[in-house]
Amino acid sequence: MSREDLLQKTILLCATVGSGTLVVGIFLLMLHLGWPLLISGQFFSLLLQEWRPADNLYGIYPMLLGSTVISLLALLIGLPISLGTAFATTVVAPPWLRSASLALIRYMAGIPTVVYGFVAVFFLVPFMREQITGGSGLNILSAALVLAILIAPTMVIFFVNGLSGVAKTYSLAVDALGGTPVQKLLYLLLPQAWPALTAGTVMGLGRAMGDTLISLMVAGNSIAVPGAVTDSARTLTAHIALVIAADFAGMEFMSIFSCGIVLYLFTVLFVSVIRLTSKTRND
Amino acid sequence: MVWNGCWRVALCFDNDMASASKIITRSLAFSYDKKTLFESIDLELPEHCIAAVTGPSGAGKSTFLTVFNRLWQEFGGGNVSGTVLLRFADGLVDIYREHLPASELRRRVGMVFQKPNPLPMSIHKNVAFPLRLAGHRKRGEMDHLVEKALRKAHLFEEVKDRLRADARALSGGQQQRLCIARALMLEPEILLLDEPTSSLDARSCGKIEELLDDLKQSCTVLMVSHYQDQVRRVADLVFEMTDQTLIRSA
Repeated sequence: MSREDLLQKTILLCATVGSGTLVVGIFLLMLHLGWPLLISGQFFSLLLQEWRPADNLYGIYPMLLGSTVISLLALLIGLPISLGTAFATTVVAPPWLRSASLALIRYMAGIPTVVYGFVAVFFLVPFMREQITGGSGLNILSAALVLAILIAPTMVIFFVNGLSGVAKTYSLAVDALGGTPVQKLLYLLLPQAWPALTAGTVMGLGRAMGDTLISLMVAGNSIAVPGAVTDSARTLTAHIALVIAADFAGMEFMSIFSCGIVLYLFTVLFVSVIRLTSKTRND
Repeated sequence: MVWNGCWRVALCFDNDMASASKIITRSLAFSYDKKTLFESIDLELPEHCIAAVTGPSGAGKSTFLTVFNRLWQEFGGGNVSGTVLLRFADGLVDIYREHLPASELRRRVGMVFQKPNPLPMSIHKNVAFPLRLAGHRKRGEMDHLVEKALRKAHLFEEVKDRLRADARALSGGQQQRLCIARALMLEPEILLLDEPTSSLDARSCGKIEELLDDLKQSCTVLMVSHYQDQVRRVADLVFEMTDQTLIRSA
């Protein structure tokens, strides 16, 4: 191996090891900061307690529920839309519309989150307040709707890559055997693109779970345990953003490490799902 | 009538003359991006024959085949003019004028490609696939029909013990016979074969040629082939695609 090769290899290896270490490092840091909670056993009780600082209760159960419900609802709304868009783009639409819609979707993925939040606050929230839910209009449903649009481009891009990655010869075989476009989707494309579809869905869920700004701006940030999708709620991420200004030594501040650890574990779970599904398919 | 030195099938609107023909084209032309691929093709093919089209590569032979099942429409672009009439059991059908859904046409006009293209599923599922697309649901009957199609394609004996195995694990020649079995599953009246043996070794090639002779009993076969000797062995009618049109070879 020449010196130049060696140098290149070393640089690349350092970059890889560096970013890998960083991810592990972040987890260790959070574990370190949240350690007092963990050893005293408070971590697990925090997961089930309510957030009532006046009564010295700093549980994150409402936020855990808020995050889960908002992101799942966003996925429930966003998934069919994304799947339909991806299918239309890859199979049904005429070529000019395919490239146009793909360009638009890539562009959508690049719009800053705050813009979506801003538009929602001025259009969706008043509409929600006056026409549908009443109240402030800042609630789980509003946040989930905006998040659905926010995560759709990510999912569509994954889905389009997966669907268009299915061999053209297969596609042509189905056409020549008299398959309709919908049959092609059901019998060929969906089963073949399954790993990419799972990956896209999990990525979308991960993005919805990890998003801070939309829930902060649109979900209402109530600390009560939400009972319906028309209730206001606070997510784990929004909670971190809201509490971070509190006294560093206080229990209130400590609680955000439990939020961090929970979010981290969710991400690990999502990534494991992706790894597992693509692995079983390959076997 | 046009004479090109060779005999060209007469353009004839007289229905008496067309009555025995299975495939009829009149002034058929195909262009792609305003560039003419072929034109003025007037063809009449009788039932139960094997017609072969030869010619240099890039002359548009494969595209010519896809005119008869409208598969070219899946590639985007392209334009057909003229008339294509196919005689099905229920009468003469103008496949470009009458509102015939592509899926229905393709269930009646089967096609086998140059490179075997089994779907990523088991042998059984591959052969059963067209029936599934056509909405056939009875499972018990399916096994019998799959066996019948595999027998027609001279493949059953070789695969009967591994019908549930992945079709892509078969040899090239077996894969191609599987594709023929799959195309025969819907009992098409017309079968289009695009250089069905060009990616196969001599032995597999021989097996497919044997099979072609049987196929003639149930369908009209229109095939494209590179090999002059193969064409001489199997074809009843031979055409050559040259100078942007189709002329009958002596």
